[in-house]
Amino acid sequence: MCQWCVEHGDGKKWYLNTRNYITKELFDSKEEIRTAADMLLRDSERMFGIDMKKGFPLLDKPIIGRIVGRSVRKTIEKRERGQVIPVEEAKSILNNANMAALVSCVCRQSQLGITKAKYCLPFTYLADYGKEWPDCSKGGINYISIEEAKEAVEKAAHRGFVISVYGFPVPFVGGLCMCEYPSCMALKSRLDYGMDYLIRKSEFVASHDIDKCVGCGKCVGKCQFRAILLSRTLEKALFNIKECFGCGVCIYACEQNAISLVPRQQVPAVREEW
Amino acid sequence: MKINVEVDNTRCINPLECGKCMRVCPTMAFKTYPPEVRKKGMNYDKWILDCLPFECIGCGKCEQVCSAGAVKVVIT
Repeated sequence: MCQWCVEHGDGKKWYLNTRNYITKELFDSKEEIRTAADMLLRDSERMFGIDMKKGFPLLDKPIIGRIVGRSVRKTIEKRERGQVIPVEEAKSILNNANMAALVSCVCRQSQLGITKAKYCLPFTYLADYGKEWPDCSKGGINYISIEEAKEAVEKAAHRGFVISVYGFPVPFVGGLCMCEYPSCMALKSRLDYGMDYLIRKSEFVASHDIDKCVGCGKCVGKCQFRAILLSRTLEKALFNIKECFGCGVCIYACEQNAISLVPRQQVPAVREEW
Repeated sequence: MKINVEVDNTRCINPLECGKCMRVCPTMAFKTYPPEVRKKGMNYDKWILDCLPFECIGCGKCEQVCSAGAVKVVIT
């Protein structure tokens, strides 16, 4: 169990605890949810208040960098943060939701200039509130049924997108995202700039049966975290669990059914890696 | 967290014949030396198996595949 699950899970995982789902009452009563939701919309170009395109020149400086880094961390902890989840978990989250929508992705909007890419999936009250998102829903807002939402998530995972759940702020579960490494700002900040508090690894790690592996290398191209390496000499794929985020995308690439997800708790080496 | 891999060379069969542990390691932390290399009092007739602790990530795959029980991953 991660720290978030211990604090907010009531014995379950934090994102499966229905008490954390944003309802209208919760939205109206909690100031921080409104701020976090509004921040995301208002700052769609300058997300988190930092211009990501310019990089973080201040963070590289020795003393100032540490102070700036700490203040950035404090700001982000008040806003939305997420966790990578496998598809099965995403489906059980959607089972608890009553309403879902697809809106255009803020990250892709600001990094690629594409407004048509609808990969953000707010649900419960946030989907309803999405009508008031002037900036975010430039591409319009599509209301879909829960079944359609599950299908969209499944399809995205087959195409190799990483599914993640977002808290607005944690523990208030607000939406699912279908992310991709260079264009997703959360994954980019974590992998390139070392901001490990923005997005967490999932509760699982990928593990594979080395006898079944034929070394076709299809999983290698799917992994966005550089966790899979193909040994040409051995004709086998090798999984580096330290880098693995547990998104489960590689499972769909494997034609031999050699890959499975193991709960992180069962692997002592990565039990504390989040 | 400290990861250490204990290799028991008295139990290990020749790593050149078996070598399963070397082939499942994602970071290739295992190394093998010919018997002529006498490392830290290691004196065997077979090739010597060793693991570099700083390359090991502690995934425990080697422990699972070793049929002789010569490799042990200790995480403290």
